[in-house]
Amino acid sequence: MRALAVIAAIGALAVLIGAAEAGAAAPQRMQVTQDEWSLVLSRQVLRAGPALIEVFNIGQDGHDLVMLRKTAGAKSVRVKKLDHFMRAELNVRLVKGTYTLWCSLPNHRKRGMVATLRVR
Amino acid sequence: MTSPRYKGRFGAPQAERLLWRAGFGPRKGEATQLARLGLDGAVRRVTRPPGEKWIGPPPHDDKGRPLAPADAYGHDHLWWLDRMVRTSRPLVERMTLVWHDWFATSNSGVGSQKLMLAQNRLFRRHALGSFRKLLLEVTANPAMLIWLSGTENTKDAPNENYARELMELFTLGEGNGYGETDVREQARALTGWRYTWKRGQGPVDFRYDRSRHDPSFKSIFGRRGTFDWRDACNLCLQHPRHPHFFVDKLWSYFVPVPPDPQTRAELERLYREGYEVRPLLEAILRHPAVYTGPRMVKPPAVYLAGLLRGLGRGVDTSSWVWLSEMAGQRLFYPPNVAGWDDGRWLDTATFRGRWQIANNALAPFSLRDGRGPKVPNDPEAIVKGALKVMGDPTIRPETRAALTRFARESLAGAQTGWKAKAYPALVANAVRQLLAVSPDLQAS
Repeated sequence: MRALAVIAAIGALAVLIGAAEAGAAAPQRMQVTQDEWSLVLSRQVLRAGPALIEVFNIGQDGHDLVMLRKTAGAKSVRVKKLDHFMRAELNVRLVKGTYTLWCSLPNHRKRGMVATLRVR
Repeated sequence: MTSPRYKGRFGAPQAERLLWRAGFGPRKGEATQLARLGLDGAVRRVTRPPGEKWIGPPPHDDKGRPLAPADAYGHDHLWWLDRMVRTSRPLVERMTLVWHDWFATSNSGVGSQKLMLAQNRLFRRHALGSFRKLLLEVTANPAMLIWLSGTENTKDAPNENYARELMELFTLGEGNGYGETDVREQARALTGWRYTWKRGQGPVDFRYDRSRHDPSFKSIFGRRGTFDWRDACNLCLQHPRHPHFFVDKLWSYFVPVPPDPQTRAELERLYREGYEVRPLLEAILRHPAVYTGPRMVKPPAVYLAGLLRGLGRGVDTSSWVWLSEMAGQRLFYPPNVAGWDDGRWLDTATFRGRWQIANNALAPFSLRDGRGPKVPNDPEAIVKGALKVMGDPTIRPETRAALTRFARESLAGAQTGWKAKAYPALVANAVRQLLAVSPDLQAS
């Protein structure tokens, strides 16, 4: 039963410049849907600040996710490989800039599993 | 000629049934208030409600976070459930649910909560309005265009998927006044839709592209012309068998047995005046069959929303997503294009889901010895208390007797010692659960 699919809750802290602070206002939400061969973001633009990103693999194959701000020295955030119908959550604090998200499994990015997120 | 009208007493039990059939059941005291308006006033209040108000606490997930219907798994379901629970215009939400079943589109094939929510807004916008406008907009709706291959239907490679369902499920009924030639010709008329796939965004910019449309002559229902998608819809609406199909299908959402010939004829006449849904709903909701006919099983979403309304509880857990699926009705995921199968609402598998829904709905109100109000060691008082917690629903005397008997027998061996102290609360919890899953509350 799909609703009983295990949720891979990766409370991945993050990244991009520190973890979201407890007790802060509700974070912005975004969903990243993985499929063969696409990454679809539910929002193309987010504001700088805390964000809760749900990664949801609706494809048949396993997929991972890397998220990296396009700037020198930026550190990436990763979600390890999710099997079919698995989900993960990323708690991140976003800073202004452009982020690239992609699946790093061999050839998946080349086949189309890449997306761009703008943070204002 | 007019449609038959209910002439019996219109008290709280009748108002309660109206609120269930045309919504998600009453909040505490609501049926009594509605009954004071009389049948006509009550039906009018339901079909022509004043401005929308949200009653009750705002929704959140298990972690207390606001819902994100387009951005989080399951939140689409919770968001709509919350509307069902808190709305002051329940018939609008109920008709939105009817159209969701009528034009059943599943996110399992669409793959976008955002597009599904846009379709949901479309259903709500036309909830009690013109079926003609609704049909035209559904035909051009992005979620539907993906779900039934509308964007894959081109003049060079016609796809019959939407054309077939347009007639079979949406407007005429299987094989009712059309043949395979009509399906093929309708498919050609419906050609021309497309979208652009944008990396990172998915399908966007849904549009009608004349270069993909087949402009040549088609022959549909014996008529010949250079028909396009609008004509495809209008030809179905003008088909002499459409009003009969429409009336029977709409009626079936409110009354579990078909209308008598006189009623059907009158409803068809009303419908032909302009494809308007509201006058039909008013005629149906005033009909004796609603108040004196057989009881009707509540769809799981209606059952759950109604329990929460009766209890005065808001949407405060994500558990409703998997519990609703277990009961057979995950919103935005109907099983196929034919919609949900009403015959499965109460089978041995889905009933377990209802049991768990009741258990979860009642959990915050659970009584324990030493916590909350003292429970009397009195079977009748325990049953009365259970009814009060659940908003005082009307139940049949035999149900009340069965619950009272259960409470009496359960308390019989607990008149002294620790049992006398602990059992009443346990029995009260059990009575609440049995009441919530009783036939009286599973059907209206």
